[in-house]
Amino acid sequence: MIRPLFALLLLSVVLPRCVLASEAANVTEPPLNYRVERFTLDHETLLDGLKNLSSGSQPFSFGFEMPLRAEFRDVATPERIFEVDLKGKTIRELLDYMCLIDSRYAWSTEGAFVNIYPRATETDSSYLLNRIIPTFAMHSVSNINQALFSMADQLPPPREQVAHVQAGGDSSYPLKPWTESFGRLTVRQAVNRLCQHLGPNSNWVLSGSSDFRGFGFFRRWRTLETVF
Amino acid sequence: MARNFSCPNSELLCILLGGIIYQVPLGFNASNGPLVEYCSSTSPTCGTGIGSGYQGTATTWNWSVTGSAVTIQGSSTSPTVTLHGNAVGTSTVSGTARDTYGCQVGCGGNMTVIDFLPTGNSFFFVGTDAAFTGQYGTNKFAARNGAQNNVAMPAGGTFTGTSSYASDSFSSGTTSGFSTLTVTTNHVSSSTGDRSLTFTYAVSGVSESKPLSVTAKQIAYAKNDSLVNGCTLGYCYDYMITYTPYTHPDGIAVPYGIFVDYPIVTETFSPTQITCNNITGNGSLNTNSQFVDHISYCCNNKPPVCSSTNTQTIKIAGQTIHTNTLTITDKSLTYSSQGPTQ
Repeated sequence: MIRPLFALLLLSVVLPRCVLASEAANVTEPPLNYRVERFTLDHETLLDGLKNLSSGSQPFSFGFEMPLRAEFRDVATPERIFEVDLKGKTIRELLDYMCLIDSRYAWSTEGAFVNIYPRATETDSSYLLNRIIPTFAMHSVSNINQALFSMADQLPPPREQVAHVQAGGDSSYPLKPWTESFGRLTVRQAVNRLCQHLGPNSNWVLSGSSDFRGFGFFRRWRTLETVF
Repeated sequence: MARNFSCPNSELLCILLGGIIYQVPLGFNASNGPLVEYCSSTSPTCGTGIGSGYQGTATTWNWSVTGSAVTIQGSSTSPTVTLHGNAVGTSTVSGTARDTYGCQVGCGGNMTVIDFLPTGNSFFFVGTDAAFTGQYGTNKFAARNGAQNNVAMPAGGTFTGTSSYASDSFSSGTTSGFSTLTVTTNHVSSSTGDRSLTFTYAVSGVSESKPLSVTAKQIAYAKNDSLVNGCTLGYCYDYMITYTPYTHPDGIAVPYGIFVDYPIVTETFSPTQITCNNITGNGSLNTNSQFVDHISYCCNNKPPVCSSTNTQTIKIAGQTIHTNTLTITDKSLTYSSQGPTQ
């Protein structure tokens, strides 16, 4: 376990910050400056921490991309386990910290989403999530599979494999068919849009291998309105 | 005598034999009295009919009220007076008693009218999910006025509660200006309405208590609809399974529309690794108080061959409400419910 204070100091003085590129959008941005009373990882992974953080009193959406193994038949590398107990840190500081202790990852924000992805893919234009969709649009889409496959079909060649591979959770779309155009987007931004259509504070996860990429989408019902 | 009621006469005491009530709910009646004179002296100085330590023989009484909070209901010249809670606030109530010997004593005191109605669901949930015990939780009860359109009155009082089950705990807070109490329990009711919660609103030195009979419900099991393959565009399958959760002790479905925040539905798998690489995650109840369990292996290319059998455990607020045995392969899902079903 890395000592939290030392790690934060190291982060601010020695290491460059994780990538932070926030694009303006008409959506609620993640509450990065919200100070979390206590944040713990109790023998948990970075993804566990992100789930806990995003489902707290200041919820936000996220996309999490696990490093893809080379082939499906390769044995999956277990996610790293951490013990963390931090008090009074902002969500931004906690994301920085998580990207420090598991330095395979970097993070950025895009609209309402916090995206965490393998640092090694940041400048790889062939990496699926970095590819560009010149014009991205949804036409009468009624479920996440239809949306995901439509997104893949809108990519310029080469054709990309995608799959919706999930067990547990809710990835149901609203009943009203979805029609919307977005213009030029990266695949990561497009997947954020697909996930955002589930509802506020939803999240997605990419896992698998380079020859079989699977997405999971998780809708979180939450209506924190003052109706009391 | 209780405070606020005093007798300046050192020889005679003014006593309300029926006890003294210092508050009355708005719109309700309360009685004070009967008012008697009482000799506390060994050397009575007034009349001849009163002996040491004996009750006097008052024959006329007169009650009056200062202020508009309470009004006298019925006779004001009887030993007992009935007071009606007319408006929120405090009035001074005075009474005098006179005997045939010309002795007279008087009592006076403040009567506060409280407008208080504890409000909340007729149930609360077992467990500590934020949807139950959080800021907008279902287990929250508020101190309101009787019309339920304002805070309890007079404002500024304290709101406390007790339960017939001693281990239940109450945490106080404020939501939208209302004083609130959130009940936390780990003990399910044996029958509907068997849990008695008593809420008390105290203000200006007086208090009013009201009981509520509620049910401590536990989300205990869930039933699912049939499985329909929704992967019509690609390879493999996609099952969106809708579950309806039910509660103990009543065995009815969780009512819809009761949640502001929604309980988290946690899903775990054993073994944790699903060979087909399914990404696992949690869900939550929705506006219908149901939850969706999405098991998908839906691909735009032919997927690699894979197969594993895993036990799926679904929990709400720490309680296992359903288990399944799933055999997930690249070609099909074999789903076997293991209950519980009641």
